[in-house]
Amino acid sequence: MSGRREGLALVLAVTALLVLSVLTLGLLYVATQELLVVRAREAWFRARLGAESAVRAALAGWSTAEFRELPVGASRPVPGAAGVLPGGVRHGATVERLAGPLYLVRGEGWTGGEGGGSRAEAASAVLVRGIEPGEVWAGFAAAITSGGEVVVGGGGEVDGLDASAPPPGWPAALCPPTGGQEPGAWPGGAARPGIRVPDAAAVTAGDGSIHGEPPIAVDPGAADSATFARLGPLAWEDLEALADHIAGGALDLAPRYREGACDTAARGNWGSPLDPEGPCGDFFPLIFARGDLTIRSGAGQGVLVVGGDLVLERGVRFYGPVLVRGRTVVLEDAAIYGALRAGAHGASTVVDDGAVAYRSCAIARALARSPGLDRPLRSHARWWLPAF
Amino acid sequence: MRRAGFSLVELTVGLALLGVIGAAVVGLVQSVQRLARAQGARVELAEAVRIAGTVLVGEARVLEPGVDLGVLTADSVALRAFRGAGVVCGVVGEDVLVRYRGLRDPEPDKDSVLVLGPEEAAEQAVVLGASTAAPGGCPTGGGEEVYRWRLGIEPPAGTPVLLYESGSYHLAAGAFRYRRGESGRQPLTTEVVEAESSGFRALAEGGEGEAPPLALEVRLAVRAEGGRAGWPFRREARLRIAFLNRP
Repeated sequence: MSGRREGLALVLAVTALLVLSVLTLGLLYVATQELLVVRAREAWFRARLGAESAVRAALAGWSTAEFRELPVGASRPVPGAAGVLPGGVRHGATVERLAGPLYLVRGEGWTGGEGGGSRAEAASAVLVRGIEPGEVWAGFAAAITSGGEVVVGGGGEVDGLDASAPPPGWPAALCPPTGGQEPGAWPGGAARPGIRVPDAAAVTAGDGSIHGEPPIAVDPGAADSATFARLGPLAWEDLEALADHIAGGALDLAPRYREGACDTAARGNWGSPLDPEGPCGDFFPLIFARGDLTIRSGAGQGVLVVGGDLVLERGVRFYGPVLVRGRTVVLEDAAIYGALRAGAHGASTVVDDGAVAYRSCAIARALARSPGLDRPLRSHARWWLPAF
Repeated sequence: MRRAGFSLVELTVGLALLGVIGAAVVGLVQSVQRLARAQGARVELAEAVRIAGTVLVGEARVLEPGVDLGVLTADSVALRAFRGAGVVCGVVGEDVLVRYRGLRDPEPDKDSVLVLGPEEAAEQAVVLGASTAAPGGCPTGGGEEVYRWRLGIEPPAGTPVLLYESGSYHLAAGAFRYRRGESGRQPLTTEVVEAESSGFRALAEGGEGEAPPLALEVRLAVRAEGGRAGWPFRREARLRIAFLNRP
């Protein structure tokens, strides 16, 4: 018997298999397209995440001082913002100097390419306002600027004359140049008024001394309550948000060290003005007190902002600008080397050999080195910008 | 004598088998076709949701809600649609030179420009009076082009500017649509949107009120026929787009 059979079964089976194969391939194609679209979208989201991460990293490590010298229009990459996120998303950021105190932080994220994944790139941008020391400086035009009464008695001293001399204990080499137009110069060389008040009758000088050019300057603007709620471009809530230390109640000041370095987070460590070349000699914190503050002992430096009353007790020293919304009391042998701006509520007093002496060197160093004032400021509600 | 060929029985069995196999193949083909159509419909729905999500996320995330967000109704949202950004890099006569990077070229008389000053109060929206390319007018970075713009004001070099058009997104006539200014509403998706189950909503702290919203919520229900009548595919998505510039 012959092994050859005749019929259509094989042909039909092959045809059916072909049809099935074509349809399966079609389905596979649709599914593949769907997968590619999903992957492309995922890659876009991941790239966007990378770009936003780069911007946030640039802001987290922000130092206005690093970018202040950039010419307008110039940009520089931010080393700390470059990196790779889990999943291989690369990212980086640049900072561009804009007009005035503005900076543009632009982050970019890239994903895919090397491993055959979907390629995508995205950009993100934030508008940052830096704080220029000169903007803050402008508010300290005398040894004491007060919106209310000032009493100087019992051997107390207010001095606006010796403005450019280094404060006690500081070598002159630590002080930046003053009075010139060159970069880095500070407008602090000239003698200043001793006390600036809205009305000469607001000053009571018993057996204290007031020196300055003039000793008492009358300026109705000194009573403007709005000036006591701001420090240059910084509103009250900005100051609290940027502060390196939040203080309150009664406090003893002393520098603290950890493993030979300055422990900047330690309570009561406001730098070491009496040891300016020590580990805490360059630490000038921005200190914010919501209410009243009494400093019982020790010495500190930086930028001090007090929402209530400030009392400096016996022998306390503070180096730098001080803004107080309430009244200020400088007691026995205590001293402020820098400048004081006090509010209109109650009489500020300098008594019992206490002193407030204008020192441009202390103001300049505090404004230039304060970590709080070096941070980025969100001056616009429009902080994140569209980036293309 | 034996003759070559099929017997009646063989033919009958063969035809019967052919019929069975043919019917099976036809059924299979129809099933697979339905499956393919259903798959296509699913892709279409997913695509519609993706388009709405991608477009709106890209558009709305960087808005300043109190200023850039216009009238918001259940089926439409008006906004400033940013199309480019730049930095002023010089002044030429009455015009300014701008290093620009954007989704498209600037279009005078249709676009406006938001000029950002050093303080918030200095933000100013002006009409873009004229725009011409000015290659080489300023040094540029990657992807930037220089344009000469007439703004009616002369912001200093280094001033950031944003180019925008007035636009609105709609859930209308079965599709997700974009309307530029007063022009017609262009569909961004096929007509698969269920109007009654879709909509826009502003999310504010403590509920909807006078405060600028913190997020824009978009509910999108899409529906397509999968092949047989009465066998539709439906997909719902709810997007909450948080504004980065919330207060």
